[in-house]
Amino acid sequence: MRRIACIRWNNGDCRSPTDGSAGQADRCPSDVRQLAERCRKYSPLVGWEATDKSLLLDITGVAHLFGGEPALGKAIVREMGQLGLSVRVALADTVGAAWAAARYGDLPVSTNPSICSLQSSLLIVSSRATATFLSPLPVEGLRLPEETVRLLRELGLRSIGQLEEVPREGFLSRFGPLLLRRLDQAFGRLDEPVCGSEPLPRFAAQWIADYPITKREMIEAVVEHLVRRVAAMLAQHGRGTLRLECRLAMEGLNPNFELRHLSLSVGLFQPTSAAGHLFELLKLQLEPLRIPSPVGEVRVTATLIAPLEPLQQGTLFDAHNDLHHKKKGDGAHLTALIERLSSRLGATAVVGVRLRPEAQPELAWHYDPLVGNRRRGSRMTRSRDRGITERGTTGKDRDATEQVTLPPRPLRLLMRPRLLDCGAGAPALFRADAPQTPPSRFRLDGREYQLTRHWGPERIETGWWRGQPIGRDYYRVETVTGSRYWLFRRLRDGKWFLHGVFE
Amino acid sequence: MREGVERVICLEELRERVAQLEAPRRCQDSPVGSGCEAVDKLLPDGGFRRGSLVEWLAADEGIGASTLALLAAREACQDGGMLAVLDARGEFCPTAVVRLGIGTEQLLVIRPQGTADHDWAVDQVLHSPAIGAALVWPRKADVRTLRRWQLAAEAGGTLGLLLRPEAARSEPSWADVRLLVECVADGQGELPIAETSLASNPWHTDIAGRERRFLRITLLRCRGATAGRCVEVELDDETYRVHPLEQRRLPIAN
Repeated sequence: MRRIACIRWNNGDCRSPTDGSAGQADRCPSDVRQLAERCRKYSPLVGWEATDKSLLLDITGVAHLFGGEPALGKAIVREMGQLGLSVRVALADTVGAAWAAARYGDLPVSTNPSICSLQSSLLIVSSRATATFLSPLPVEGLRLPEETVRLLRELGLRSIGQLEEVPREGFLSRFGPLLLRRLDQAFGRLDEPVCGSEPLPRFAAQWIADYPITKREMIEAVVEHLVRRVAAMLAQHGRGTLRLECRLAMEGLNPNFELRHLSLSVGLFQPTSAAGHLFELLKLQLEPLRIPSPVGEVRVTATLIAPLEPLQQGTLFDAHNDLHHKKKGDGAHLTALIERLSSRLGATAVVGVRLRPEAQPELAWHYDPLVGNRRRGSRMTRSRDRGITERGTTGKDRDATEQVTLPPRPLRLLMRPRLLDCGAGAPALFRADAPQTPPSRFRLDGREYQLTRHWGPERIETGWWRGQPIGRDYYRVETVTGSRYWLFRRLRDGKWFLHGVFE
Repeated sequence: MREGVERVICLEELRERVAQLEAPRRCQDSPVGSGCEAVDKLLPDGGFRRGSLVEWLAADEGIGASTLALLAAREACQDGGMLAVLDARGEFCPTAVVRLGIGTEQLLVIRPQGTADHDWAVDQVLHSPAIGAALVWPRKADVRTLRRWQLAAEAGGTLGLLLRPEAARSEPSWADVRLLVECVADGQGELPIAETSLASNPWHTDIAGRERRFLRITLLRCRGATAGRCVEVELDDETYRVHPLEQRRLPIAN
């Protein structure tokens, strides 16, 4: 008897492995192919249902290896949970029944303990109880087109059991062959194989030492050798890596001690298979690292891969040109710089800027890491190239639009506004609804600031939908020494804060 | 008499040789405008040299020195180069830069944590031909670090703009140009607060409340130019235009 496991993502369909269109990205894996790869440890045959990208695993004869079907199902749920994915796993005799159980198994009609066991995210349909389980389920459980479902409902056929009771002859002419095929597949009268996905090529290389090594030069040489092997594999498949990981396994440490291995990770701005460059980035992290004990195993893996983008080759004379004559904003130089900086400082320390339509000043932009992102790199260079070539037309026009619509903001914006001690300089009367003038002086860090001029107020009231409403009246003020600051009065209690400096 | 003439000639020759040795490797590119015509006139090349460091010393915080540096950065990035901002304080506000006319696609923000990482990142940025200008607020930069940055800027053809407090004036520097920015009285006296309150349209002020700053920019150091010259300018915070007020020669201060 065959046994099939179906893994369905809660709250939405999974994104297509090719078009990346539909689906809730926050709840579903971005690439179902990579997830299918992870599930190969549970089944030699892994595929996915075309309609919603639910994963299908043929687990015939393998459940006992994991301690039985409940243990196998729980292991899958646990692993998906570790990836941040909420799933429903269903086990049944056929692909159709497993899919229906994963989709509609939580309906009250199907929770008969004699035919299935429901444990939170895991539902196991007993073997040879498929027909009993399927009968009360709605016809949508047969993976039929919406039009067919609507027609069946108009005819009063709402459950799968009702379909079984109606003579089959009329179905073919009225609904085509699909309905009968799905029905037979679900009940096991017609075989439905799991269409296995082609395994992704693994871009990894490993080195196991006969004798653990301690010399840094030797470790670096091993890492370089493995990086070259991985790079060659990538180049052979026309792919590049966006994230390369290197793992050094230590020998001789106490098994209870946490540090059993050192992991290095390099993120890239654009996919590359250049071994020298990849090793240089890894070396930037390796150099300051203290290696506490001998290394017995080294593994280099390209964990995020993408097709290599065609690069325009430089001319023969480029090498002889003076650096100052090279075109500023050269994509290759920029890529190399970003990758070097990110490799040493971390991906979150090297960022691009994206403005957001947000009134609250400290939330008006977002920093995007530039490396290890499948789309960001190419998009940024493309937009920059457009900016360079079309300078004076669209790029400048857009800048001009942004420039006009943006309100004045200080170059230095304090992430946490500082409460000001206004003392006797505070306005005597406070009314939240009335325009007010800033204080005539304030103290900060033991220094007194005497104000002479101000501009404003600019009232900002926002954030109620986040549960943290803010109401502020902002003023640009100038001190007697000519320094300009950005103050605001909190409308709730009339207190004054320093939020920025117009440097 | 003859010995005296020979000595003068000899000194002149030595001076020329020293000047040649001290002179940086000059690039063939045209100089980068400072964004302020009056400042350009103070400089021997009519602007800043690509591949050099420029120090902006601010007499006080919040007087507009960084805005002036950004105007120069905007000029340096006109040919598509990136503007790298070294934001070690974590207080950089990109909105202000975009408002000044530099697009987000030209902005690269780097936020190093420690001093060593910061200095290394500045070196890398200045060394890269992809960067048009780098804006740096060095906490403490010793002579060796500054020299390293200067060589990196020369190699990459990048304009390094260092924003420092006036206290750094006494410290030695490898900057090609060192400018001091001070605030000066506007000549109209202090306006009472009530007269400048603008409630209706907060950032489009009228003439009475126009957000102008009156700044004195003093050339403290520049290879090939006389130190101590200064200009007084009016910086319009609305349009970011800089108009000269007058030019006069002050005694050498440093």
